[in-house]
Amino acid sequence: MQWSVIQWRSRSARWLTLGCLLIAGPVPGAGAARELDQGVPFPLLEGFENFGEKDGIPGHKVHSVLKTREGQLWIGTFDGLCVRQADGKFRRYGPEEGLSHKLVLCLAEDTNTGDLWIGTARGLNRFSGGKFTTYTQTDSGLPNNVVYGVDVVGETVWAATAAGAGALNLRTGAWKIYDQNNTLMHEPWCYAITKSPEFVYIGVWGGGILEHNPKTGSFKEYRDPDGDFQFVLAADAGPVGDITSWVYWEEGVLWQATYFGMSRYDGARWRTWVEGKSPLLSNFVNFVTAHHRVAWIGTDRGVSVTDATNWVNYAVSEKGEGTVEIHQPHQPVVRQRLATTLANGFVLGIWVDDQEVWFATSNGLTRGRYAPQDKAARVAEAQP
Amino acid sequence: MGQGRRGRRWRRGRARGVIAGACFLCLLGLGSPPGGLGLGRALGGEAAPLLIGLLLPPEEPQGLSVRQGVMLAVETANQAPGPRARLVVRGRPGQWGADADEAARMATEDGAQALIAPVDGAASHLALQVAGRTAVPVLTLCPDSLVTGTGVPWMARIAPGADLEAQTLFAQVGRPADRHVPHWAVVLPAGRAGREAAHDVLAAARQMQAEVVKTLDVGTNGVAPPSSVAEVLAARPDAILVWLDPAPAARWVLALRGAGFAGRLAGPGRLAGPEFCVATGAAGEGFTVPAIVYDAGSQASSRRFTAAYRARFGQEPEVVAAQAYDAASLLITLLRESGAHPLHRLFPLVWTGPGASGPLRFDRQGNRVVTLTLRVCHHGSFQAAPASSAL
Repeated sequence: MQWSVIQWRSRSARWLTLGCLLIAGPVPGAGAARELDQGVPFPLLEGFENFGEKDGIPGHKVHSVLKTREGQLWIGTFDGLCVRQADGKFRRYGPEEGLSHKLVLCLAEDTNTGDLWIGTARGLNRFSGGKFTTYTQTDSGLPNNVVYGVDVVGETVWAATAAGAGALNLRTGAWKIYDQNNTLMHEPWCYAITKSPEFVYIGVWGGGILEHNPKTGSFKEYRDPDGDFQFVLAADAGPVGDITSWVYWEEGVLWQATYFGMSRYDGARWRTWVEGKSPLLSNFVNFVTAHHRVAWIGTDRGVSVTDATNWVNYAVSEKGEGTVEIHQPHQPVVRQRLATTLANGFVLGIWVDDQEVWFATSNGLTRGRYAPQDKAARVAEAQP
Repeated sequence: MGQGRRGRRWRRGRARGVIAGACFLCLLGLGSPPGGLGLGRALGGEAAPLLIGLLLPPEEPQGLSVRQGVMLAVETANQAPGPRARLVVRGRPGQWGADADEAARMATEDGAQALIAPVDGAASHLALQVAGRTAVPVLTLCPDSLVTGTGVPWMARIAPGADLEAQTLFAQVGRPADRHVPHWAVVLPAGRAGREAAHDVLAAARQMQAEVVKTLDVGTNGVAPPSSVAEVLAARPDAILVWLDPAPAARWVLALRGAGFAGRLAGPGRLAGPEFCVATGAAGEGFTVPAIVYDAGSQASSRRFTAAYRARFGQEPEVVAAQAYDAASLLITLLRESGAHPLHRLFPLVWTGPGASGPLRFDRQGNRVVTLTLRVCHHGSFQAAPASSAL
């Protein structure tokens, strides 16, 4: 193997070995993840492939990525919505085709109909049968035009906007608006939406997480217990912060991304992680998704992956160099330079399935290839 | 909690490089256009215009001053060689949240490379939400401490924090001869603005061990009905903190003095301008505000700014005009320095330099680092407080 596996315990040793690594330079990554694998109970990535303007992506910034049930890859960019075609090139849809705004912030699929829901900087869009239907603040019940998050919950489309959450009943066409006037919402600034079989979770900028039971119409609030935006005075006691930048629920676990770290709630217990006191790459977390019970966390310095015990970080330096770092309990940190890496460290969206991982970054789209192992099932079988 | 994301060494190093370069150019006499920060002149060559977006809701109380301050900064910067700066101003009436549309529009359609957010806290948060997703940096004029508490790495606040201003007042305004702890009443705006101001003011009171015996939220129109004035005075405060914008603050000062209150009146630093002084007249005599202590360089910058503002607009500048001027000047300087690189990489700002509103220096959270003193209204203008400020 050409890779240099580095293990260190002390800060001085870390700098020494890092210096040696930089001298050694990048090396191919085939098989590296297997070499690195020291019992991490979820798959590692062994390589990255980047996509940009040469592939038909119109702008540098990619804000969201989604793969439909049929395997079609969609991305939301600073300059339009794109779909990956059979030849690997991306086809763009912009305002010229009926999209309400060029900046696409979020995507969701209605798995019942196959329709795509698109949140933009000016309005919500439905892409169905090759045509766009737009919903804006002035011609619908959408609370605000800036749609940061969208999800489909049964027959209802939920939109997280800058002035409340909007719920569109697809059967009746009726809208409901949820904001500080009719919920526990501390501020009306909604940044993300996710769902569990029972609840809808709204990520609120400045208001933590709001849990809504559609059957009863009730709301429950999860707030940072120390009441301070900046400082985590009570670890593992509740959400790490009230500036919620994203939320995601999967297999009984609710993950919260904030600008002050990460939180995990399994219905009984909160866990929190902050940079410096945990392996989390950066406190500035813009996105989190989960595959089974493994969270994929998009920060401004790369991606952290964790099952709440083990951590794997795919970091990008300011010079564009990539590293993988593995943190496991009672084991030294393993760090390795990567031959290929994310298109950019500022990661705004992630899509994960059993085949691959896609990353929306501020300088293009990246596909991550798994090492040839099958650990997803093992993670799925684990208890929360 | 670790705040290491803000402390990246390379960023600090780079920002320090900018500062060092600025200082060097100033020493050589190459920089310092009148009232400016003095970096642009050494950077010649034609380049695409630098675009700054100013989010300015129509209901912004001192909107005209903010706009004029930013305009003057752009005009001053464009007198120097280097890429020209351009300004786009957006803000429209509408339901709550309309400012989010406008901020997003500037960052996307207009192509603004940086935003200036207004004094209003809600509008500043909406701009910061756009910044969180687009990495377009924001300088805000909002004094609310929670604005810099949002954790957006590429933001800074030009206005001194309301918490720090209130602490200064509670600490430096003396106590009455017959009491160890002065009793304060606080008049706050209603709604969200009042909630945020109360958060900072009451925290400052706790920290400085000042006793707040009464708080009263008043309507945004600033009307001071006799019943409300009587309610405040019934608490028998030694001093009253009027934490409002200039026009409503002036109405309250007139009403309180008219009702016979003879104790100390005080308010936020942004009141120390002509609008408040003219509106209060003799009733404003003795009104106390916190003010930034200027160093020699900032005194010179302030003099140049005031002269240029007076010549351009025919009036004396408000405090927020100087802050808006500094925000725009700083952004233009940073944009010229960052060149082809994204501006957000220069954040957190480790900036030290003179400004029209006082020395410009920021901590890792984007708070402006200032030393505050007291200024007192005397004969229609604010002057250094006398050595004894006993109630």
